[in-house]
Amino acid sequence: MISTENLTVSYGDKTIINALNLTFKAGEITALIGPNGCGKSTLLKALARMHKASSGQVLLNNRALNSFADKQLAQKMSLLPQVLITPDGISVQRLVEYGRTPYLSHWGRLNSDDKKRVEEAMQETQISGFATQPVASLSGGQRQRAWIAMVLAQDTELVMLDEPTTYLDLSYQIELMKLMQAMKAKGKTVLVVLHDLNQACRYCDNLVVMQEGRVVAQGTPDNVFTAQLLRDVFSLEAKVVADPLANTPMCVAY
Amino acid sequence: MNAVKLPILCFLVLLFAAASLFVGASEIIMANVIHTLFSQGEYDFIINQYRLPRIFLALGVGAGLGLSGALIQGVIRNPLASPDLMGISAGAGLAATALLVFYSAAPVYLLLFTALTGGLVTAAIILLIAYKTRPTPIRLALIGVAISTFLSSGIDFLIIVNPIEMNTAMVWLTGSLWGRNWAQVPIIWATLAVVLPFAFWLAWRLDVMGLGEESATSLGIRPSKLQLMALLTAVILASISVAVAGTIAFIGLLAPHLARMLFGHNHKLLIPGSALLGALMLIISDTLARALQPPLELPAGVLTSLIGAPYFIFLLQRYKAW
Amino acid sequence: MPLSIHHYVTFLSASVFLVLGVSYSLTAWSSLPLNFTHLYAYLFHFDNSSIEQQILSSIRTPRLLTGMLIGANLAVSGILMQGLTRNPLASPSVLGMNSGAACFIALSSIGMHILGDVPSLLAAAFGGVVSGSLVIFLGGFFSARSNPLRLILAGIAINAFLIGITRAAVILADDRAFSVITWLAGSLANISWQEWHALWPSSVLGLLMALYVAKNLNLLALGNDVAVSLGINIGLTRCLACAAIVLLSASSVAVVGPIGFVGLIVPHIARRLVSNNFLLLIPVSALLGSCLIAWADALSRGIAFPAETPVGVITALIGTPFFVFLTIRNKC
Repeated sequence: MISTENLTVSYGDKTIINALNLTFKAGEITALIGPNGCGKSTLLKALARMHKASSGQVLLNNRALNSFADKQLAQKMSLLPQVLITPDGISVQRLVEYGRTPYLSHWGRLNSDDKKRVEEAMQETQISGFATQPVASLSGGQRQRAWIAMVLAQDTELVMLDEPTTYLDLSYQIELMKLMQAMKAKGKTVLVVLHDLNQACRYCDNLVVMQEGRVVAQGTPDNVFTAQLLRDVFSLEAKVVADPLANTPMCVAY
Repeated sequence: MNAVKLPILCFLVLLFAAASLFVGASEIIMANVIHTLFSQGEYDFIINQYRLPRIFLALGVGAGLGLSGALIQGVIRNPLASPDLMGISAGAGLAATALLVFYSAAPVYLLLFTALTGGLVTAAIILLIAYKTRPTPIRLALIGVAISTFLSSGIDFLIIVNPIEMNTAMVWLTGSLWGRNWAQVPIIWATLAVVLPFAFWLAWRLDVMGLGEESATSLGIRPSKLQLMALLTAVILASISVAVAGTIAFIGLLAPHLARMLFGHNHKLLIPGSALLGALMLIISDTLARALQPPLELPAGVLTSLIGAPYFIFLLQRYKAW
Repeated sequence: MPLSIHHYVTFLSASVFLVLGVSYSLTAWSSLPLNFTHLYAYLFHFDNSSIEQQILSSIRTPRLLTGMLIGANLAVSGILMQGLTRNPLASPSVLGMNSGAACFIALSSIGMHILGDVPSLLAAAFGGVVSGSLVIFLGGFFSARSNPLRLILAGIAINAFLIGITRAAVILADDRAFSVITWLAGSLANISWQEWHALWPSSVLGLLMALYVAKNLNLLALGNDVAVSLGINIGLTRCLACAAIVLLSASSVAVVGPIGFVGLIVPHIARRLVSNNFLLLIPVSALLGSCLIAWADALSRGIAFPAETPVGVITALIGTPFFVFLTIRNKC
């Protein structure tokens, strides 16, 4: 699916990601975790070709990322940025329609297939009822669902989400996790940057733990998520116990 | 609703353009004007050679400036961006003035080319500064204004040092449609004919740009490429407008704002809307400029800045992101 | 504050620079060749019959003195404004005072007397005050979220508006246009002793007032609350400073027309040279302002010799790149 080969990314002369070799499993949810400034978001942007690699490369289906045309790539992968800019007065429907951008021809007209996809995406995220309302008038959770609907309408096999739960109430965060699992059920690969470690363990199949631009651990939560790791990477003294509902590991800090 | 507004705008533009035929230093009754339009007569010169080309010019230049502003504001998410505030008009004006001062018999194509070069060089300088320093929108506007002031004082310098007739210079500087004839009409309209379809081609891509650079990239649109194309188009439009009619202030800023109030953020409507509003503003300004105190004429640019500056203040009062 | 060696050196080199500028400006670029012997003779044994000395006494000297005084006036009003608004970009031209004064003069010179038939000096002062306060008000100086850049942009809009009116006035009154146009560009040509006599009383008064409020401005820089607790009457300080600004900038504009950017550039250079102490900043700014105009005026005569370029054009050409630099660098 998507992998990196000796990927190095830098801002100016500051190296953020150093010679990274990483392969993400297709059809699963992988969470990128790590302390602030460890390069999670930068990695995501490099994978989406928003940041140039200073050396090394990213491979999508064993093909170099740079060999894809802009539209072609956007039909294969999508990224929901951390900071979302909502244009004034834009309606939910129109926002979701933007997801079809990579499929449109010169004059930007939606065909019946595009319209069907938009409709489906809105149904899956349960926002069909607000279709004509301005995005700005929605609650935080509804707004985030509208953006997710846009990503769904883009219909890509790889979906990347950069801290999608930030600023959301807890109930909306859980809602979002369930949407991610629904994407997985449809066969998509999901990469997500998460802050909440317990959510990452509970809802994701794999963890990639990063520290200072390097990957320090990778694998299923059961294998990776240990008290030792929390101490080393997050400087956190915590006890790792089993989640009472899902039996996945969770940490309780002390 | 929005679909009705465009035809109404079109109608208003045509109405004012027609009204403009009847306004001027010599009073000609309606029947004579209409008669002259279709078959020449004693008023042939005033109507067909003087007022008619001016109307076409006002429409073309106004539309060009409005469109230019809409494109610039579409790619630089900055409510204060416009060809005149970014110094592009002044750059084109300086280059054109320099050419006229040193080579007064310059052919039209050379004037066009020179103005275009001036506009492009200024835009390149501003972009370079913007790229190096990553200014906030408001700071970018300030840099643009300062560069604009610098280029304008360059124009003042050229004119004062090489005194052409003072009043003519003054009129040209402020942007005027006085003393133009059919020769300039095809230039601006040909430019519009080429650029307008391209602007429509850009329209929905500009809409997507409204989601921010990251989202646009993820949707398969390369922001830098789109920005470059839109800016280049805008600079071409603004420079050619300047070459044809001098620097006319504030239309490039105002027309897109008014269009956005009328049509929201949909560029498919914003682009024709800005062009129509620009044409409307300039035809009204030019008609007023002729009607206020005939036979004396004010440059249309003076009127547009008298209307535009208060609006600019209004924008500043509303601008939230300090 | 004791003056250090550094301050003496600054004063001394500025003065040397000024003297050089003065002698250069007095003699250079004349259609009748002038040199230092003429200057020496004029200064120490004036001979009424020599044409060269006549030129020096009746044309060059008043022009230079007026120019230098105006440079000092503009520089000091710039530093006062920057101190008062705590905005490094504030200056008479940026706040629209120049174009306000210009607009009122243009209007009165075409016969539209807004104030009745008053001397042009008064009309200019009034115009400057009106536009300056309009900019300060619209720029949100008194609002809760006041922003330096907002003030500047409001100034730009008001400038555009007033220049529009001025140009309209000039074009509509074609016959009287020429004198107004050269005046509008800010020129020192045609200055005689008459202008000097009109200018110096208000300038001296304004400069003295500026020096008087300098100490209070130093304390005001610490913030209003601290200043009040130190016993400063803020209202009075502001009033005096504003009055000084109006006296200095409006009288200058009335005499030579708008000369931009002196009030912006000089205070910045002065702040680089001496510390942020208004007691030093004001005299140093005055000195540097005089210097700048002395040199710029000579340059304005030389750049397209024998034609005269208005000195305002020269200061704008020097000043705007400086302004861009300040905007980029200053992260306010």
